[in-house]
Amino acid sequence: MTPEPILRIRGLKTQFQSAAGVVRAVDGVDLDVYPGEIVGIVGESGSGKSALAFSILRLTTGRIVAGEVQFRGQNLLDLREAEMEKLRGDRIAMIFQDPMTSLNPLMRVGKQIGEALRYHLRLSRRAATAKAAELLQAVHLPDARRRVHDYPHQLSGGQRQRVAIAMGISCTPDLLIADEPTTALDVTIQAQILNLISETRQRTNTAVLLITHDLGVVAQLCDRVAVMYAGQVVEQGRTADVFADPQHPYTIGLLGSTPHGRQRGEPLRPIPGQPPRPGEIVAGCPFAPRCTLAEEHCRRRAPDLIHIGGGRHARCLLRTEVAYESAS
Amino acid sequence: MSPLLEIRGLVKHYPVGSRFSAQRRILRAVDGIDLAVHPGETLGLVGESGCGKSTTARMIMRLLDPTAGRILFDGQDITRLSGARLKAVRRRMQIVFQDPFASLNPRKTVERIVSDPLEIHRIGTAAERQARVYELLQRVGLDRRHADRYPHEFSGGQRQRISIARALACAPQLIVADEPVSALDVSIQAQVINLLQDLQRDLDLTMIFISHDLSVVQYVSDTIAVMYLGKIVEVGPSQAIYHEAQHPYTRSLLSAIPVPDPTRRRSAPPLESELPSPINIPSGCRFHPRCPLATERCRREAPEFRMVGAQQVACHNI
Amino acid sequence: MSEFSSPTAVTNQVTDTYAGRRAAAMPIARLARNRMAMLGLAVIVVVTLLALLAPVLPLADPNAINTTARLKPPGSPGAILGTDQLGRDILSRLIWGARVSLLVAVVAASIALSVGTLIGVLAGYFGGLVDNVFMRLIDVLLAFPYVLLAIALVSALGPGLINAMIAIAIVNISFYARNVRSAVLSVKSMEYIDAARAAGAGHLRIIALDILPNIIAPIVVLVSLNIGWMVTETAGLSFVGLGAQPPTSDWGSMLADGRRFILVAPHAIMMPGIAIVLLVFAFNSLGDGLRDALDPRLREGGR
Repeated sequence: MTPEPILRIRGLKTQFQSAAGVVRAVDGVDLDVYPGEIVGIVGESGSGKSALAFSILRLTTGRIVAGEVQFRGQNLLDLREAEMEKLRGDRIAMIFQDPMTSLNPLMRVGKQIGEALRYHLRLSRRAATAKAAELLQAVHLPDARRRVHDYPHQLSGGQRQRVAIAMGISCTPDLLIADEPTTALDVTIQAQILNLISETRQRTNTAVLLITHDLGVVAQLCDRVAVMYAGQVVEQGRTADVFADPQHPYTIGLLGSTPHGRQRGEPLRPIPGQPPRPGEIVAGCPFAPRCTLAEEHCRRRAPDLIHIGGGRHARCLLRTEVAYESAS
Repeated sequence: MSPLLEIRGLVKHYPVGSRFSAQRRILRAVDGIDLAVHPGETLGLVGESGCGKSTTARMIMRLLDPTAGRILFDGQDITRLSGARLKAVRRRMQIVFQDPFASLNPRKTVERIVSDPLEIHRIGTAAERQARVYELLQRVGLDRRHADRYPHEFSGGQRQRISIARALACAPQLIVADEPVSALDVSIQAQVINLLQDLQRDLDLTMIFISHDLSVVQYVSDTIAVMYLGKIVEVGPSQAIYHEAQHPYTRSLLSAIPVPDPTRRRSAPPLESELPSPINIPSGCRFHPRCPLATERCRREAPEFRMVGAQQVACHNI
Repeated sequence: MSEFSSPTAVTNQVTDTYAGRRAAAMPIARLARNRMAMLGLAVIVVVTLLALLAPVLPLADPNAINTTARLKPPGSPGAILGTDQLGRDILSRLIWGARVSLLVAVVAASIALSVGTLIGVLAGYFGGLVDNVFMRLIDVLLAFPYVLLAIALVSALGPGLINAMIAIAIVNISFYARNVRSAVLSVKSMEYIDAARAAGAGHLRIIALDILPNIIAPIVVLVSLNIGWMVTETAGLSFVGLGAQPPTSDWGSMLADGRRFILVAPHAIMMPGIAIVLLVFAFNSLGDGLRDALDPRLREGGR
């Protein structure tokens, strides 16, 4: 792995004001993304994974109250809005779960891609149109030359996501943030899009931050993974390591919950209870109320995310003790 | 043993376009399917969006009227039943829906929701019904103190439990579960799957479990039927389908599921191209435009079911 | 009912539930925070109270003619808001007129609401032929310009408050029918309606227990917005002489009376004018506030 991360997040906190009080959607996240790697952020609804993605681009509707987001050595939180706008779509691009929300329904897809190219790369109208067709071919949109003139509603969900990806990579960004890009798609189409993301990374060396709830998608696609729970990263490491030997009880629970490969009658091992509701403040470790391993002090002290060797981190007091013991 | 539910040649077509237009076309949501579910068995119905699995569920529940075909429940033809006789059948079969936020009336308390079916069928006195509600809530892992709350006070998983309690109220023989866990987070999904499994075992329920997720379906089902564009393409014992799928569509469906195991890579390249529209169904075998094995014959001739291994497969080339 | 065994260990652990009962009271709390809506509500309450209490308030006889005190300006002794061209006390006439205006608006709204809701529920719930027949009838009603239809109806029935009220009610049926129908359509597509059908519930039961309770909120908004218009329409019909007949007067006929003296005694037309604007404005801001408070799209959540 190259020494300098392209994205370096430290202590990021994003909060929302709601009737239920202050919701700490992102609650002190540290994360590094290196050039050309695919990092998965996996978590369940309400874990803060989308809020994290939107905070990086400063598109969150909440308030970023602390932390820094270093992108190529520059703290994005210090930039003026105009500078941020130049960066978005150019150096950092984002694709969404529902491409309909990010595509203008009244503009032909070729033109939409072309507009971004003209804005960021100052291409002529003609060059932009040619480049748009080229990009649509690169994302394997069938019959791309003709589809340039289609409106978004004339395309299927999978095809729209291809267009969104083409738009995302149009300026060959350093970082592509993909927020649940395949959740709305059927499995066979999802497989196509995941292949496309992987292929794109290989061709352009764009780093990808992939937000998903699906452990299968992470396993298939990501080099590294960060597991989020209640606004915090509870475990991170290389995908192969985390899946082979999960360290945080929440990760263990998630993996035990999937029915994949389990025989009928062999009960699943779900995580008991419910995640904390938005705005609820849990004393000690936020996962303790659902944790089968939790001990008395887990309910009193909140654990830190600590390095547990081999580039892996976990936020669990039980792991912390193991680490201290082996150190002493 | 005779099947509890049997469907024969079930069809649902929708006319699309204006009533006055010359080229009025037909959307073939379900295009002739046969199925049988035996008592105590779970049938998994799997397929991608638009394959007709939910339409099938709604026809079985008599929420939609079939265009053609027959539905037999416990030997009785229920396809055209109405009034009191339909009501009597409804007591014996129930449905659990996908969306736990749309399937509960926000203006009713949990107690009202769960006791509604009992009241409709005039079962027990008010006190007996209340006792039954408490019992049901406990049975699905909720508590009697939840009874006077409203749906919005619960999380998705809890709401799905309320839905299940409502479905169980009249002690039905058949439960149709239409994507019951698709809207839930993984950890909650597992809770609800376990609950359904326990209930089925303890109450000797017959179940039709509908999902787009083959790995969930294989886990809960005895038999699996795979649907593609309104037709069943492969049906057989769950483990046979999961481990020795024969139909090329089932195989690509299986290989497309992202497996939560980084050491396992995809066995086959993903299917190219998109799902055809159910308004414009391809000739011959409807899977042929996407099929890696397709031949000239597949374009002309729709395949019939044949026994291959332990399952029935509709394919010319297997 | 003995087939139920004890719950499994895992499923038994259900933590406490979401947001709690406060959420149910949230729309009211949100409405209370809306200043314009609260101002509107205050105006409506004050006007209603004054109208109800008119017989016991120390007011001059609204119909007592005093030719010696014609068109007195506001602030004159014994006539705070002045007098009209026949020397009648404008304040007293406004308050007595409010009785008429409000009564007509409320009764007309109730009639339009009941008939319109019935049509809207039937059309929306049953769809198909029922829907087509009702909605084409409504389209016919809508094909006429609004005020023209009311005037035509009153001319046919004969001038007078009761007939004006009936005309206004008929004209407004389409408003309720169409809005209720679309509210029913969106509720009808919810899965809990299918769940009720699957449980064996009949149409009446589904309409009464599953549809109506879920369209009450939009109906409340409709009514509060609609009553404002009805006040204007009543005034309009009276203004052209088809509503309240002398000696009874409402705000519309006061406006008509004052019109001829607009240059010599502008207060005679301004006082009822201001009253109408104020009341309509009050109903509209309350209606807007209700809509905002009940609109589920404004519930919190973000990313």
